[in-house]
Amino acid sequence: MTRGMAIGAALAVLVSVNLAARSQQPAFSGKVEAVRIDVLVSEGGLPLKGLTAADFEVLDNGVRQSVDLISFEQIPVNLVLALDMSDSVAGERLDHLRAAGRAALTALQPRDRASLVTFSYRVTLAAPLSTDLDSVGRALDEATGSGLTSLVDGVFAGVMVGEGDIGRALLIVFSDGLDTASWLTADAVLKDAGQSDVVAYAVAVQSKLKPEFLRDLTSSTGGRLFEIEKTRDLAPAFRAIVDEFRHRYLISYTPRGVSKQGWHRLDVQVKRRGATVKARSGYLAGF
Amino acid sequence: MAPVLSAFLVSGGLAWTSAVGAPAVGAVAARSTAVRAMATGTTAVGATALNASRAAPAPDSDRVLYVERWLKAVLHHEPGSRDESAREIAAWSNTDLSRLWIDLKVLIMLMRNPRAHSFAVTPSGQIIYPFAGRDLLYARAPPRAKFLYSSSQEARLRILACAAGGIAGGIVPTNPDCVKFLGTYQSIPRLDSSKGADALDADLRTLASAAAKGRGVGADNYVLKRGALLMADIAILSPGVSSTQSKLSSRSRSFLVKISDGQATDIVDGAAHWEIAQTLLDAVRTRIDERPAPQRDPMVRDWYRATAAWLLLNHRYIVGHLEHALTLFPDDSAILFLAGSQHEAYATSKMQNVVRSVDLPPGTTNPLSSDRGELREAESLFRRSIGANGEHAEAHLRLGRVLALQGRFADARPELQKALEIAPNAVISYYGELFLPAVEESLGNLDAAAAGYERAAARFPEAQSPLMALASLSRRRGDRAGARRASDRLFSLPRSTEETSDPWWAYNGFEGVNADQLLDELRRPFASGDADR
Repeated sequence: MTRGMAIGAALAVLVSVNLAARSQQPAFSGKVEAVRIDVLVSEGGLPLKGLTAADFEVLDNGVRQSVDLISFEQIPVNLVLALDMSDSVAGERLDHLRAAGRAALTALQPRDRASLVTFSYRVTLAAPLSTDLDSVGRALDEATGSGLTSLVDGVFAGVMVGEGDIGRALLIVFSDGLDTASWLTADAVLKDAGQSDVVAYAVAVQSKLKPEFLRDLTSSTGGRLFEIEKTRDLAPAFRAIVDEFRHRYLISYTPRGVSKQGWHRLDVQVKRRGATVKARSGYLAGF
Repeated sequence: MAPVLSAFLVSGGLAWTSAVGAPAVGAVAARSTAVRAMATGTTAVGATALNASRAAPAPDSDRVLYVERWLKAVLHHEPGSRDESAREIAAWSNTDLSRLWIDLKVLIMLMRNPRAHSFAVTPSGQIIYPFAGRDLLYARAPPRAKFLYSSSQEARLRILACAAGGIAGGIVPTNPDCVKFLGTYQSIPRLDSSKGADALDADLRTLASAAAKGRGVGADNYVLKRGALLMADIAILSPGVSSTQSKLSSRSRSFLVKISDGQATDIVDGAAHWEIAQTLLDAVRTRIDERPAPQRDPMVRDWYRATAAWLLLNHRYIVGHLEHALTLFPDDSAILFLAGSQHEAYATSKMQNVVRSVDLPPGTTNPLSSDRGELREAESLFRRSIGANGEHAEAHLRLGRVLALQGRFADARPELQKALEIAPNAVISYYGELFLPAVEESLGNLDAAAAGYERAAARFPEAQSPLMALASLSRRRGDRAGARRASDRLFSLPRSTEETSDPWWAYNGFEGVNADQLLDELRRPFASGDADR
């Protein structure tokens, strides 16, 4: 991967919605079948602000596209918390996790929505997507669990909750271990996540075993993996994730010169030396 | 059915601890009648022992008392109950059990040959029968330690062996050597003078009488079989067993990896209950005048079937347990099936991750192969099981699953179809209805896959796995609305925490679901006394 080029995947959504545009901000194109890509551009480890559509170059299956730009402030965030509630997350760990969830909720704005998915061996939609953040907080406080860890199934559920709705879907996944109970396979869920419009960030506790699934998930969706030493670092990590997400650009384009079906590889670059771009690697047309 | 904690007992490659081969040996070594129990050990201990034959008496002078107490526990224990006998033995430390293990091997040798004077015991559990004269052991590797029984210990052991072997008979022993020992014993200072003058107290006489009846039946297995039941009962029924486990040390002979939710949480000394039971059963014979032949005894086979089922049901993986069963019963369909299931469990990411993450003691080899290697082994064992019993539905089911995990979907399909055809219960049917659609999906037969998942969902309406599968399949088909409908059904399920709501969660362990029944059938003849007639 070289600087200035996409190192992950690009988000793509086929939307047929007209959004009201602010007079001084670029508007989201209301055309049918526009592709939307959620992009993080950073320089020196910090989000790079102030870019315009002209700063971006997008190749769809190798064909250059004309890019619109959506200001991220226009689009509400749909935060989905997918949290591990297995046996190992108990006592102080659970307290830290709840605090982290609340920290993420506190970082949201009035138009944003949040949802809570918990997983031990059973995956539960503890709170559906809603602007009633207090209800999500209550669900967080009431969540308990025991048993094994259906991490892969839990992530799939998080993707299902987050995608397909108006808004930008941010999935934050926490697990302190590896999957021990899921039915779905990691490969299948990674593929599903890569074809959705959800940006997945993950937080894992450092251990001897590397969280390969979470690393691949965040890489394929344009997100990032945070590895922390202790669960008391969860709240700062969750806050940092929401903050970083707010500094992502949502760019769009109407595909031209490419097929209208199947998997499309995306390459997203910025015309700025030294900048790093995180975006999804492609999208599934026709879904 | 699936407990939170699973234990993974691994027999380490460590040499025997010096605890059982104490470096200090008795001064009686010079006496020609001294009984030597040889054990492998560390080089340093062995060298010390070689030079210590004229040293002070062994520090564990009460060790033969443990044998006596154990024999009485065997006599009084009611199979299947956590009675006083079981609780007493359960409270013994791993050091006590390791010593007992050696002493029981010596006891068995003396039961079979009251005149034996010198013999060796290997860590693998094999008993090397008496040899004359030279200490060949010193020529063998690895180096070992030795210790000697004092004359009173030796004498007491012989008495106990006479009783345990049924050759002390009732009051009057039936073996001239035992007659001599009982008579001689009177003149040797007793280990515990508070016990009274008799060489055999009431309990030991009862034991001797009960054991003698077995000899009339054709063998002398009373203590061996009941002892094995006792040790298995302790491991199964006594929660106190784990409390006697100590931290792993350089003296540990085997160790236990404790697992919680796929992560190794601790490594402790492995308790020797299962090993002692195996050693006892290895000495079972069907006739008095034969060498041990446990493979010809149905009780031994049933013991392995029942205990292996219980271990797997409770996620206790003892490396070597089923392997040893297979050396005795290589064509037994049930044992082959259980062994295949164990290797299938070894292939899971949970077990593979545990082995990768745990710090095994130095000198210990990883007993697990790669996931691919374990799947191949599981496949081989399932095929052998089916070869012995073609109507074993779950063997077909698990073979199908193992083949699918290896990417051999075309081979997996007929096995899963057969399993569904002869499935004896709803859970096996459910597994088949979950696994077969997954194979169809992999083969590109998406309509068949969707129909299959719906059947699974109908069979267990609160199960989440079929709905997860349907949602994922819909996505694969580009059916966004279908994926949404399936996920809505998933999220509408009751928030039951019952593991039985989705049998998929109990798949690893289901192979042992009939463990209680097998244990009841195993114990019943001994509880009623029929086994001794």
